[in-house]
Amino acid sequence: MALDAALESAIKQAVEEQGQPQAVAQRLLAWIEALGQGNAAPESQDGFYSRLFAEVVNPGDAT
Amino acid sequence: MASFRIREDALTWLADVQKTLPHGSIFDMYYFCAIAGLTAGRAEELKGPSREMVDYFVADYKPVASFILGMLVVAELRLARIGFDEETAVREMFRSLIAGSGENGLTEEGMKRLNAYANGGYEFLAENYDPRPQSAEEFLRAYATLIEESAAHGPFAC
Amino acid sequence: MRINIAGWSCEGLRCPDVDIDLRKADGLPFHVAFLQMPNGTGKTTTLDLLKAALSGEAAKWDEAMVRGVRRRGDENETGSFKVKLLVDGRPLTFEIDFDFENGRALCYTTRPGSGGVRSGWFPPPEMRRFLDISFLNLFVFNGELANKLFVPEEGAAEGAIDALCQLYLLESVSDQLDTEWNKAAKSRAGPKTQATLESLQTKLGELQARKTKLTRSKEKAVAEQAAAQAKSDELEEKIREKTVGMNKDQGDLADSRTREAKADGIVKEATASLHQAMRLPLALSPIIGKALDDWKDQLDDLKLPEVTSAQFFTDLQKKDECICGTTMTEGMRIQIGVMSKAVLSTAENGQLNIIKGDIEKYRPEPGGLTFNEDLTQKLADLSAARREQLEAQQDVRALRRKIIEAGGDQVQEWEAQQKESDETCGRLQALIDAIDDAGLNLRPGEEVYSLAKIQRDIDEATAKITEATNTVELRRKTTLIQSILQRAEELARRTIKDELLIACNERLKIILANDPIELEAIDGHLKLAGQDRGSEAQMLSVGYTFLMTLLERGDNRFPLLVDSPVGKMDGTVRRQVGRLIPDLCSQFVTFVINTERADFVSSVEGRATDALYLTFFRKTDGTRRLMANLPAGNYAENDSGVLVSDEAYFDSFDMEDEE
Repeated sequence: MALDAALESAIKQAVEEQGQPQAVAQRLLAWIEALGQGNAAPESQDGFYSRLFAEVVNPGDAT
Repeated sequence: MASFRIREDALTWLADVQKTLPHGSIFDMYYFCAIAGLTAGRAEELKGPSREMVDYFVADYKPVASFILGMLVVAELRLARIGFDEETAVREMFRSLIAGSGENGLTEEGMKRLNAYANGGYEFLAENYDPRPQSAEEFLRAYATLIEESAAHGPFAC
Repeated sequence: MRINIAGWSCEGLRCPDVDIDLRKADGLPFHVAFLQMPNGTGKTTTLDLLKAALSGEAAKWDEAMVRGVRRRGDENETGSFKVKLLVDGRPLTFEIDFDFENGRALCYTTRPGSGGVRSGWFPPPEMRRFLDISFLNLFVFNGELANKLFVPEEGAAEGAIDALCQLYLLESVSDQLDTEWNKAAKSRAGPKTQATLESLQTKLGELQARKTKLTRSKEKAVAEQAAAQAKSDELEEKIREKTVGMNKDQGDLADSRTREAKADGIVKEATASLHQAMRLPLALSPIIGKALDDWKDQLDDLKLPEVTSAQFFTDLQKKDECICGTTMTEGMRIQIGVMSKAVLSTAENGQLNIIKGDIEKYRPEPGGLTFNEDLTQKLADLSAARREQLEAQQDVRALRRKIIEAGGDQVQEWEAQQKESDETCGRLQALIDAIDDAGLNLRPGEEVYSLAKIQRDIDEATAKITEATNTVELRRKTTLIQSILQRAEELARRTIKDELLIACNERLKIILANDPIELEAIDGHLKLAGQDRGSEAQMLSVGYTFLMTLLERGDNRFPLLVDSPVGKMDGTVRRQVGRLIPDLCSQFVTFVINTERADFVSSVEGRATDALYLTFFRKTDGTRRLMANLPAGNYAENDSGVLVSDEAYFDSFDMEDEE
């Protein structure tokens, strides 16, 4: 079941405002969606976390 | 760098004033005490529990910092009985109190003396205002009268 | 997603055994189902069990809660409750089996395609969030919810948005980020920093616990304050009603209160204005300005600041020749050094120039008031405002006293209670203020209530841990993502509220065409445009419209299951609310007692596509006479209860016949 459209676009906008790539938004949305569906059990959180951080550009280097 | 310091007792005494003064801050309380001390010529070294504040004039008081610094120099000159025309002594007094650089324009000694005037000013207010003020509105009116009266007898009166 | 309630059944529990089927012959649910249940038949228990089964919460019940649903007087060891849903037309069943002997509740889920009955609570993943208890409360509730949406302190409207739009998930992610960072920080600490790190982490833990405690304390204080204020207002209303005969005095009191409020505002403004003027020392006494002017003039006479600063002399010392052309000697250098100390440095000169310049600058406009005169004027204004305030306060006190005394002992007692409530309000406000305070002026050792101060300390401790564990970059990225989450929450919340507002108002234009009302904002609670309250019917209409508009976001369809939706309302309101509900939802199931039928049922059925009429009562001595008139073929009975599915019986059912 999709996330609320307003929440999705808000994440994308907030990511853009911070000069981060949209891949960060996608990783965040995936994590949030999994939590919402009860699919992000504690043992699988690491995966969402590490994939998210792999996309985050160092704040000093962000566009 | 030395900071502005106010006696804990002064803050307790002025607690209701600070609470009821629109946007009242600790610096306002310090100002009331310091101006009272300078005008009445009361400086007492700060001993006992005191609250360390910032080391700069906060935004509301930046525009009037020169006057406070000027009042400090004048009060100290008068206390030391140095005539305004005694060039070397005036220069030395100025130099001992006022820094050429830094956040607040004061030397360590200058900050120490201003804090002493704030301490003395609190004593002066507490002596002349009993019981302690319950509201900002009541305090401001009484304070204005007190300062006007003490100015006529203190170091600023000719 | 479309969710419907197909029915439920219970056995061996506090409510009588029953099997409720809300479906038509074609297997689809009736648009509207009326379930008439006299008081004591277990409406509240049924509602609680429905929510417990749908949310899976029953598995967490303790022994006392489990045994609490056992039928009174029975020694049965087991009981069960089952709720059947249709999810996009497909069946899904949640069951709770109660083991009273051991005090346990076991949940089961049955859905096609997942191997039949499964032990535990296992809804389809895409449905889970709709079955969270906070969300369930939006469509399975008693009639009080619609009113709560308007109460500022309840925050029910905001809570509803959070639940449906899953904004709470953002905080879950943020918390998980902190957990991961803490883990990383722990694992990277070297042996030298271990002890320091542990101490910092303990401190951080304590601070975070304090933050949570203060946040909860504030929520509790706000709610309690609202309750105390509501009590005070209620007592005020009682006093007013009791003394309603004193029209003139009541009117005068209202006027005096207005005057008092105005005077309070003027005093506050005058105080602020006077304070601002007093920040300029010159204004406090003309003597101060004169002394500074004299000093400045004297400095001019002394030619201070110097044209030549100390820098000139120290630079000269380094040269090979003096300014007069003479070759520099050691003796001359020493003398020049002495001279340099006798003059002000460049920086000191600069500072003195600034001071003199400011003294020079602050001259009043020619013909205008001096600063001291201006301050004197402001003093006079404040004194006048204060006199006016005191008079207004005195008038209010006197009028109130008069009204109270005329009201007698009862009124005086109410006044005493009101004073207590007001004191409670004051005490709680002080706590709230302390928690909201910036926390900049705390005594060392003073207990910290300021959340802002706690947060600053948390940030500081976090920064220290970061430094101690070389996790600076990780912390920076973590903080960045948390900022993104926070910003996204603000944006999403704003968009959702804006969209809901438009959608609700569009709907209200149609539903309440004859009794127009509009929503102005959704800020934690529902705010009406141009008025604090509407009529009861309007308020409920707005409340239900908001709920259904929210529930339909994302193209979802939910049933509404409501216990006593119009219990306390008069006929007109019942009719109005009854007319609007069927248009708002695809399935409406309501529990009513016979006295709630009037006006409401006929309005609802008039707008429904079809309706089911059920009457359910417990078998007792008191209901024995009701067994005589059961419609043949249209009822089912068991040892504990009777369920009748018949419209005529529904309409004529009256527990108090022949009493």
